[in-house]
Amino acid sequence: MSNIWIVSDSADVAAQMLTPALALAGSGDEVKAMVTTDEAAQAVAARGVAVMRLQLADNRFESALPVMAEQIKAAPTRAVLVSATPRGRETAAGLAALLDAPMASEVSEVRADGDAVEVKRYMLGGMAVSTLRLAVPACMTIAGGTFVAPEATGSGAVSALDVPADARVSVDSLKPVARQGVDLASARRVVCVGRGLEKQEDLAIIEALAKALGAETACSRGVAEDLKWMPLDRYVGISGVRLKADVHVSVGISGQVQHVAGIRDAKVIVAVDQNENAPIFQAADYGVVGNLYDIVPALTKALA
Amino acid sequence: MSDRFAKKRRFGLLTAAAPPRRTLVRRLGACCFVSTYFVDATREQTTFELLEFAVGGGGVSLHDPAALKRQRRPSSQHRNKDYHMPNSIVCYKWVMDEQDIKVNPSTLELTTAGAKWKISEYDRNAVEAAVAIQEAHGGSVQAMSFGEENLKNSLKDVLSRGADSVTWIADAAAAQADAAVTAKVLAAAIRKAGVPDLIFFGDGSADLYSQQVGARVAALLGLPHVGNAQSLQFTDGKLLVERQLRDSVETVSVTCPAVVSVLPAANTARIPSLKQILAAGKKPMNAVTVADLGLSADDVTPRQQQVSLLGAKMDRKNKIFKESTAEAGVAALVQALKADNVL
Repeated sequence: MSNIWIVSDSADVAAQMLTPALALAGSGDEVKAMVTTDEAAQAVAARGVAVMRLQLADNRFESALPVMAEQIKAAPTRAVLVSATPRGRETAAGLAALLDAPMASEVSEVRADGDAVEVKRYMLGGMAVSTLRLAVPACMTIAGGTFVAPEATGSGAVSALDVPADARVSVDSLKPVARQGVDLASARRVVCVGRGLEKQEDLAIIEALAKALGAETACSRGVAEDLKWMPLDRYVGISGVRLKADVHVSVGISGQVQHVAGIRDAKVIVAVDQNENAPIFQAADYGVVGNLYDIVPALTKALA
Repeated sequence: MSDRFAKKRRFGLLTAAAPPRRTLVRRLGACCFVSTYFVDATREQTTFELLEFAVGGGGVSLHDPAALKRQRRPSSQHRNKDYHMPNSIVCYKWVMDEQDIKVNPSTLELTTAGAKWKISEYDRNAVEAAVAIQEAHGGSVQAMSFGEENLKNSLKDVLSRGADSVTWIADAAAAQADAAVTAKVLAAAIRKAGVPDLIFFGDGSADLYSQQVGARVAALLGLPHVGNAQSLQFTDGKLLVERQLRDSVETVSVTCPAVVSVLPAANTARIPSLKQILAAGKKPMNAVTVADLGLSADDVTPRQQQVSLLGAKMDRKNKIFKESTAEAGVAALVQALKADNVL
């Protein structure tokens, strides 16, 4: 009789994590949850799972580390699944250290394997898939969109758990980042531009193509971080946005492994690049080799 | 004593800005030694007054004036007895360059033959962050790493990037180590070296990108961890950190000692100058063993095993069109997309 915990600061991911959590639960095991928002508590309770709503005195998920460790240590644990959000990833690692447990980050698959838990995750910038067998308690983080939430059936008990502030860390400010346009991770169609674009003004031809396709615009990491032609929340890659689009058009991107890791879940990938040996073409369903300054306007015209 | 200094000032010698020796020795403590040659104004001899700081048991080479300059407090702070120079430890990982790793297209097995090794990219940003704070506030930067025997090939590399010394733990166990084991080893090594004010990590390593070790080390040492750091400032003994979160930027002030995991967006790791590369070999390199740290074989045995490692398959159609004109290429593409019901 073991517990399987889901720990989340996101309502969506909390609901989605219930799928692998329930799959891991053997007879006599119980799934429990600790979340940081009312929305997340409702999402979990609606699926019949008992949930503790953490009342964070300083509004910081990270401050809940000792309280969560105490809750988990109170009974035998098979697994701890944590939302792979920026706060969640580091909190999960701290939790794993306090539990003296192994942890796999951003797993793509989970299954029970006797007394252990087997997971798969990408490594080497997305080039390889590693299959890992973790001893219990097996800790892991799970990114949004990896699993589909189970149906809402029933009502789990909701209780509150007070979390005192961490005296060592004081918040000076918490400023929301204004999002321009749709959340890329949920966009159905995306046009992504890379360093093949010569100057910032040329983004106009990319935007024209996106409009003709009914797509959002995005970029590779270099365009956002080094060139600063687009905001940081618009770059696609292993450390940026992971797309789940139906159609992804890649323009002037060579297709390094770290970028491809961000597009691999797109249903259809179309690539445009002047180098026929660019790795992006191996990652693409369709592609056109040539000068993007000729191809993109021609494609925009053909789609209009 | 004051007479002697009065005479020096009259002769306008360069030591006018130096604090009285008594205060200096008390402040520097046991780790440091001071050698001074006083000007004996009565004998009208001119020699230099030279202060040589030694930190952490090693010596700062006079061949590297930049390092020497960094070790001095900024001059405006000389008379402030409470001014504290932050000492840092920055941890890095020596990894195989993933660009040298090849995937066999039919078996999906990985070959690493001839792969070169490097300091993981984001760890360079961590070193840069530590060095930047040293340049502004003084103090020392000690690099630290846990790896296999070839870790010794990384030492001059990390020293050339601005670290004053490096402590390295090489053990065969590193080949199978997971983040849990690595964190235990580094936490023990940090305790042994003495917990500094600031401990830096990169956001994640280039090979595994688990993004765990920094937060794990902090938890093991009972220190606050501040991750996703995109900008850092050391002020009044505290670290002010701007964190890049999902939908917001959080600015926190954290007391020291503290652990920080640095994002690549935080800075641009400088390319070592020739002078830095040449000076690297003279800096202290301290080898430590797992046994020295009081760790058992069990402590360095991971509780997870890799069952398989294969190239990630991208099963894509690969219908690539290479036509003589853009229009022809686009026409072929659109036709294919329509035929497959994409558009």
